[in-house]
Amino acid sequence: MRDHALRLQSLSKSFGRPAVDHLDLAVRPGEFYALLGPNGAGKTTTLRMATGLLAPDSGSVEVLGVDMLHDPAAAKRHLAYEPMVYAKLKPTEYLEFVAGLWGIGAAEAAPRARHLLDWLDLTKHAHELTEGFSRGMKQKLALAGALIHSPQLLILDEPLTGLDAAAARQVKDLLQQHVADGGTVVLTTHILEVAERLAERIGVIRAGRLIAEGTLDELRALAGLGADGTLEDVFLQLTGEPA
Amino acid sequence: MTKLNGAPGGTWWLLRHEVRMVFSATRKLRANGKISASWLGTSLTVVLQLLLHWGAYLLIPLIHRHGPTPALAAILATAALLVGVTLMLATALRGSVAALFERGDLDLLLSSPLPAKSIFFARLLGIVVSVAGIFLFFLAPLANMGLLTGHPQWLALYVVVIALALLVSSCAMLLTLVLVRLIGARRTKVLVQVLSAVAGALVFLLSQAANSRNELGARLQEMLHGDWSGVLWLGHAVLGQPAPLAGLLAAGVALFFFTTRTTRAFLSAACSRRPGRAARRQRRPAARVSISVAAWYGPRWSRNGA
Repeated sequence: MRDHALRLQSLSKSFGRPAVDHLDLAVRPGEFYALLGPNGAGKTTTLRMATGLLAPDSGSVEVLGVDMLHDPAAAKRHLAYEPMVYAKLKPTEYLEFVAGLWGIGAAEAAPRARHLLDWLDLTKHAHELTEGFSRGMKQKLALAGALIHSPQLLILDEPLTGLDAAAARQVKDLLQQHVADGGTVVLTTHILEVAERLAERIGVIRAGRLIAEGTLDELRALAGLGADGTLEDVFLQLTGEPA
Repeated sequence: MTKLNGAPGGTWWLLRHEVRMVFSATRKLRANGKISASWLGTSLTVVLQLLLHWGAYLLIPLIHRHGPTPALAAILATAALLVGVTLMLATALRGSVAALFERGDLDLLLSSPLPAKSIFFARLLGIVVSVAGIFLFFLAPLANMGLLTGHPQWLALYVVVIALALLVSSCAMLLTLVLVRLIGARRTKVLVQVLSAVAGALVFLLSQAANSRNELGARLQEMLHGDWSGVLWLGHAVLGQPAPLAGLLAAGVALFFFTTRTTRAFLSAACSRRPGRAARRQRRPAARVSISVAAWYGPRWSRNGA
């Protein structure tokens, strides 16, 4: 068993000014981790470096013990980053393609594709072009794409934004099931209720630095709040954002 | 050298996807969510090809009986080739902008274990196929009927079109990246649209110039007596002379591989900006067509082959 599903060490990235500043973060296998922060805090930049899409100025990224810098192909084999959906493909074609990117053949991917489409109530639309889908349907299909190759580490940037209640529930259930099956989820969200209810540990990032991390109770204690303090109270207290 | 592997995740497999995406724009959605049948388009394509072949069958013997002298033929072939290059460049520039900045799937591809060089190889080859496809649609009948009527040198058209598509698509991709670096992705898209319109207008003006025969004739006489060997070398390739043809193809292949090898580094330099709203929009699964600029791998990561 690896010690970390994702480990970022002294990770830095600057776009003129520091976006991520010597960030250290470790997520255990089988953990549901939420990364919170105000706009411009460096969450997306952090995730893009974690997925190998962006080169850090300094620091290291390890995915299940594999160094992203030295063996990116092996590191990426374990992870999925919320993909986009091709408007001119049908869901079945799309899932077949994404599975193929991870070297999985169409026949091998088909049962899992059917299962995911069924889970997300997309089976009856399986042979339609996704350009006619609602935003929620596209987002659910994108999540199916992220899960089609059974990644051990799922990294998602605002996966629930713009979803209606029913779709959000389906996505949350699927993410929880992924964790229950031994997978790891790292997500950013502005919907604090999601982090509060789903995440085992929460990291709060501000100006590219991790300013607090722990369970909700630990964060409450850090913020000097009692047991009835909500994550919103904790977040505002820790980030110094105006209420 | 990139290996052409047909298995899922291989370069050939990825190229099939690229070609599918290039031509998927023709897939239409019906009101009931089903995809409209494409039999009408296919039928029209077949009929048009038959007509073009028939026209070429009549035209080629005429050209060989009453056609221009070899020197004049080289000039005319060069002129036709330059017009073709202009149109190809406009098509390839649009393809490059779409492939690099509009389709929005580079995050998905680059976050997969596929080597980046395979991704850009397939992406550029997809543009080459689409550019060459358009021109071969109209020129292949001439080549085919040339062979049928005993003039196999017309087969050089296949090589010329493919070589030019390689050259022009590579140039277009590099130019797109330079433009994005200089003026940003959104303005690049606008500029490419303007260039396409200008290319179309240029071709129209050339066709009008060809109508004023006296003036054109005088110009051609000037050219015949001037030192145009450098430019006419291209025309000789079109006419099927082996050395210019091989040179053109070699140049196309060389620039193609140079571009696939350097695109990631260019992208990194062109797009080393903060992944702001545009990049986030790209990642959203709404799949809308948008100019999106994200920061890709830096040179440091490109050494590691992924």
